[in-house]
Amino acid sequence: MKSNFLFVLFSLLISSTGWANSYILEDVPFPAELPPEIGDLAFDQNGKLYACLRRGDVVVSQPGKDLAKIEWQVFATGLHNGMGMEVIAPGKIVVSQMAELTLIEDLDGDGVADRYRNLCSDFGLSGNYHETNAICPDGDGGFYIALGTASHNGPTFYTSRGEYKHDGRRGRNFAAVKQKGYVVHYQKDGTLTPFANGFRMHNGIARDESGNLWCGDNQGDWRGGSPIYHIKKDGFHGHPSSLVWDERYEPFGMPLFYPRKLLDELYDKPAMDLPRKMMHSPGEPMVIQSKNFGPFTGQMLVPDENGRRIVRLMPEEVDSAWQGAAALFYENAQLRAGGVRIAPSPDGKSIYYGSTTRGWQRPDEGIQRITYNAKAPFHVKSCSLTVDGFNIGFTEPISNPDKLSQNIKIRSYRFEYGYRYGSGELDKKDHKILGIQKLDDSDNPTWGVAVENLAPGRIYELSFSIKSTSGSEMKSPFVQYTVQRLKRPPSDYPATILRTERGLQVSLGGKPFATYDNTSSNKPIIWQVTGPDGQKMLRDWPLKKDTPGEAHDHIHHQGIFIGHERISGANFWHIDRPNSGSIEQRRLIETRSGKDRALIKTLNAWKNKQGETMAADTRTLSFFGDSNSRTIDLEFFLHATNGPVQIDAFKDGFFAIRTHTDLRLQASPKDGVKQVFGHARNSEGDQAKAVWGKRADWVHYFGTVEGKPAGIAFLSHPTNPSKGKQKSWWHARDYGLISANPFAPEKIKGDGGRTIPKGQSLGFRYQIIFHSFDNHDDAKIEERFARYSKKPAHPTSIMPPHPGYPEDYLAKNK
Amino acid sequence: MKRNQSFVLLSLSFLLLFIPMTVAQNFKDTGYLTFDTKPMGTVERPLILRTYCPDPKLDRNLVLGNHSRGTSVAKYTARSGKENNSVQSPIPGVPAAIAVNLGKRLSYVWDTTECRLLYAWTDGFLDMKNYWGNKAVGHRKGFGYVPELYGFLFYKAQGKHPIHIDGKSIAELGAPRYLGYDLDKSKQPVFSFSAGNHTIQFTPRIGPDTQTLQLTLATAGKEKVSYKSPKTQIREVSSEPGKLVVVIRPNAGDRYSSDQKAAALKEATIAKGEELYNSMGCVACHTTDGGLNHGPTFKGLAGSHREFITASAQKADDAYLIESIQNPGAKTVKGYLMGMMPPYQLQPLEYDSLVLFIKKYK
Repeated sequence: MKSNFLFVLFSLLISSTGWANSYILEDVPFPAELPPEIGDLAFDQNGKLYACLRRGDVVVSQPGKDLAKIEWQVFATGLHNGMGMEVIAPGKIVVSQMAELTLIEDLDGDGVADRYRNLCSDFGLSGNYHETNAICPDGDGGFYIALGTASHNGPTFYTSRGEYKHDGRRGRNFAAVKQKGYVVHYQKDGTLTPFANGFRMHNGIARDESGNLWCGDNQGDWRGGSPIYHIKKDGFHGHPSSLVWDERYEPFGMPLFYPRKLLDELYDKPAMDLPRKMMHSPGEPMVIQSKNFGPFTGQMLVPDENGRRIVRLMPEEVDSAWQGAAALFYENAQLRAGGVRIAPSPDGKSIYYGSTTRGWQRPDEGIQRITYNAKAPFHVKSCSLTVDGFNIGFTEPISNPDKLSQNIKIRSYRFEYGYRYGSGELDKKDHKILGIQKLDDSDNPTWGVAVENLAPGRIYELSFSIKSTSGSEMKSPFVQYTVQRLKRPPSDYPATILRTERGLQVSLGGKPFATYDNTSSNKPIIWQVTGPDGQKMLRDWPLKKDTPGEAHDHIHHQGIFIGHERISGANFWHIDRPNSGSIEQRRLIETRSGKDRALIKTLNAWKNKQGETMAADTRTLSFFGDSNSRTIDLEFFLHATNGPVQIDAFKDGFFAIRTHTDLRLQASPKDGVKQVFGHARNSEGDQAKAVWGKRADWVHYFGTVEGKPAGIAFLSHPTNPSKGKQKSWWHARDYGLISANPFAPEKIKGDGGRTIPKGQSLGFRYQIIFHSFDNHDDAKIEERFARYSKKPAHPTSIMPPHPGYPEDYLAKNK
Repeated sequence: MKRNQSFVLLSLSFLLLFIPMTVAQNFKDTGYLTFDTKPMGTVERPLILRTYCPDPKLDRNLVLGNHSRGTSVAKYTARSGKENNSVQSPIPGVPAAIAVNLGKRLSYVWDTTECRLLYAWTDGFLDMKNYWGNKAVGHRKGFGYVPELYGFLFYKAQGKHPIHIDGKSIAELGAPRYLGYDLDKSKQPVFSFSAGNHTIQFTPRIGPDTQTLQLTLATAGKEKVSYKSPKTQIREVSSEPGKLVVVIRPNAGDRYSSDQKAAALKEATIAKGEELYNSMGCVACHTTDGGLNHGPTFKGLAGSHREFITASAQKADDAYLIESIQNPGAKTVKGYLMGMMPPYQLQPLEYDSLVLFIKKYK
């Protein structure tokens, strides 16, 4: 008796708090003979629902309130696994099928299509079953097409459509033919251009009202969880197979076997990486534009291709990229498995959910309608990142708000990025809540939650054990926020980046700071740098030839530059030797700006005189400052992409700056340098000329430049590799060259040469400070170094080790 | 026998449960692609099917010359990131062709890459079971998913593209570009493509005699259209500037059948298990090296202690392994999704072969 009573009570509780109370699920009837394998769903302006079926038909109906009365008619047929469809007008649709983008029209108005026009077939088709395509409109009469990769669970044909590359055929999911793993842009004039790559199987693509492009990607190799991408133009979204079709990476060999650190550096990380408890491969995201579908307008829904659930996404832009929180929106055993597409109904009150599973799961397919029941589910309505935690809003007022800090649990973890299929939760941490703040005085305020040890590159799970004031409980009471980037604090000296002919011009607080210049020299340099008081901090010559009072020595000393006298036989320091090589920018990986610092990250190829590539580098430069100092942080990795990188011991290298002539320690009247104002000292107390050839944490040049107090401090991060964990060896000259050289000859007490094995990377970090003090003490270099020592490096994913190269290990087996 | 019956019953009840029985009036008339894996059209209701098409040993250099060549590659393991010494070869198939069926009278395949008729046959069409799978399982055949041609193949394209415009072969005008097709009053397609500066309409229709095809080739201008073929194989019906009608006669005679009777197994073997693992699609979800995927790995599976979402824990003995193939819904291992795997109805010795195969991965 008692247990019965409890059972009834329990059922009541479930029905009053579950999904069912907020959203009504109905099956949309389908003819029994017709396989309801939904490739895509869309409404026309008259409220007709078009369903693109994977076997080849497009069927049409006009669903009313009573779904039992629904009637379906065939509109088109004969399409190969169409997984993308847009309705242009009644009787006029565009479908992306395996082989092409097809415009389908009913010309005679009898309700059945009679014209099938090939809009675009300029991408390849290998014959693999997995190469499916999805589309979204570009807002200008064209389309973005998501071209899925092939799967190793199937072959290619002997005869493929379009150019074929053997290297593209290698790997688990592969891109043997053109632009598999890409998003390409079909413009209305008929041209097809690459837009972004690095995708595995982005089954669905969506464009929001602001023009942002979104897609998910299947779980699988090179995927920690189920990623959701904000698609970045020219970006690399992590799966390396498609890179064989991108000429920017052509110098570096086989992408599948790139050094792991290089791939991680190139990877434009997902906005969200959903764990397996939320998602087992996302279908197409749908932006909720309607205000009639509950309180989540502006957020996105994404179905699970392998589960009976829909996830809600709350993206926001943080530090020039998108990321955000995700929550389970709807989970129900009656929902069909294999959700791939969601179409909003014309009245905005419902969504039509289309599923298909043929080919990967037991068939359980069809269309279902989910209608808002005018009662919002109790859950997290908004979750955004702050500088020190999260701001959280709920759909209903919460009970016991004073106990909120005990009723939220926060933990974090990260996924590894690598060739394996999926990742476990690595490096797990529990986080203390440092404080909770009510951010407004409304009945249902937003709560500011301060979190201990917030770090980028991690996924934060916030779990709630709270009820609403009306007694509702939260279903699946958690959100996952993928913190790829921290929120930057506000600054009085916001850093901005402007593209110019020479490169990228960085300004601080609206005043010029530095130019990242990849056109003026035979390598990328930074030139000029403007100090806090407006002076030029670097020698102009030879980049600008007519500046008076400059010595014209060492023509290769150009601004701030990176190079070395001999790497794998080539000279990357001097520019005029028979074996002088060059460093060529291959990709501007990213820029970030607008907040307290600007960031530039590039990929560069180190080429010898003959044009052969010896190595790759990735460098991340951060620019920031305040009223009396301006700082450039450098994170640099040299990657052995094209074989072992042999760095020979020479004094001329590696990270170098040629200062303004005024900061020289010694005049040189024969060169026209009559008077100089520079002093120097290092962390060990060595002064003036004596800083050359010494080991130190930093070297500081100071005095006056253009008559104003100024100085340059060059800091080497204590984690930099060196022999016996010694401090950096400095090649710092009295004529204004300051260079940190980790590869100086041992006979002058340097670290000697080093070989980076093929497939490995070597990293260094430095900081250069330009300040407005004429003496050492006021510049507080010791304090700055202590701060810099504790500064964490750019986040990196933990990766499985490099597997080695087939040509090496396969030979050994024989 | 019994297994088969229960399988049919299971599928039927499955249908009743999940697919409401409402059929719109005009549906039957329109020509759609159903659960039937041997779809057929009629002369009144032509069936157009875009799919991967079989390659009945076409000349890859002359007939499929605008295609690129697939290569064999070393197999790759995502678990280790390494290639190994075993080789994966391409399979025959035509990726971007269009198959058309007019009932038993005529089937043909027209290719959008070569922009030409590739082959034609009677008494059948394409058996889609390898690609679409059956209704209850829905899984393509691992490395042999290309639909099977069945019927009597009477025409196979040979040599370079036969169409000449103003005396010049299409093959010399660069790769042709497929533009699309329109359905005419017969609801049959009129294909369009361009070659050089010419736009050509290509209309294949049932010929005057059995096992013949009539082709109408029309250009947008008044170019001279000719069709180069051995005289025994074509008959010119009419020719005028910008238009040529020819009848194509049989140049082949191959009987194709899609019914491959499975030879009864005499004993269970690891090799058979491996073949089934690859051909039935197990490989798509179950790794053998401990790697993560949709289903549990086979490595260390046999004999291990299994914990399930609903059922009570047990040891993975032979009976459990067979049950997991035959009726995978019975027990779902913790951490995996319920209802993911379709049931596979096999011969008893095939189950045993799979068990042997699984046991290989300790």
